[in-house]
Amino acid sequence: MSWAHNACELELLGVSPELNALTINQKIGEQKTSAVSTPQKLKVAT
Amino acid sequence: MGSTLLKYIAQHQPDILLLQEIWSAADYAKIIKIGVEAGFELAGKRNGPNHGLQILIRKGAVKSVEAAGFSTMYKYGIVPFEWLGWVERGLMWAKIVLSDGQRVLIGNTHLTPFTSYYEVRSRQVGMMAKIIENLSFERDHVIVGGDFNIAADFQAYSQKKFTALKQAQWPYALFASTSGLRDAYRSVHPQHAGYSFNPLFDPKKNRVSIRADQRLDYIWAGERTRNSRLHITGAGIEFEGEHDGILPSDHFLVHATLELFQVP
Repeated sequence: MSWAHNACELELLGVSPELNALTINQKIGEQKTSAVSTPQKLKVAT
Repeated sequence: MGSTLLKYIAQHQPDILLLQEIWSAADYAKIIKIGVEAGFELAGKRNGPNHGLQILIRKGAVKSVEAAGFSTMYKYGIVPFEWLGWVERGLMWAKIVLSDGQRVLIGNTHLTPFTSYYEVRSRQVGMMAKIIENLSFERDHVIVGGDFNIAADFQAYSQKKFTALKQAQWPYALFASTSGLRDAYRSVHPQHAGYSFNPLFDPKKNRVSIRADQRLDYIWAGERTRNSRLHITGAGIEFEGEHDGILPSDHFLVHATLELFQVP
């Protein structure tokens, strides 16, 4: 499990990985206000 | 292939490109030429195993590429056509450092195709999760993408096809749970199907049709330390239709924009 699962204090066991991804991503987006430096942007394609 | 790739690079300015199915020496040389001329560093070695993979990393987007390599899953495949073609499945990887010092593991893979080989793919994603775990020691983030040949989302036109695809679906959840990574496309598009594969594509025929009905290509991402955070701000699909009078590939291009940061 990634650290974010713990860091966000989410209890999502039993939830589909897709809904899990969506919820965690929203929570992490909210944490950008407490970033210690400017977030680094990466564009990835496959 | 070359002109389509160059056009995408010029229009979208990607930082990381994960390429698959570069089988011939001529195609490999073409990719190296395009990559170098467009300002990318290449993770793959010319004389590596026959995996068809390459990672292009924009030089200006990273501080350094610390290491790169290929970790095998099966030496020359266990499926007959892979064994005959000396195809090796595995994870091509690169350890990069961003300008602010954040350390990222990048991975690229192409798993065994065809719906019926889902048990092979389940073993591959299990092995890949272990490879990622080992390689991501002292990394802040992990980004892995490629052609997984796992249809997490699909549309079937017969009961038989539906049953087969449904049975072959579970390695998706297996990879999500064993790797701890998040599906970038689903993280921002909870409703849209995101089909990335056109089964009617045939490069040997002059006339081809488009009927995208499976989501096979993914970008997965996640954190590896308590203080690191990875926010997926956007994702999409390109090259679903004709470009310059041709269909570039049976797979469409999946892209994601990520923001990597640290919290106290």
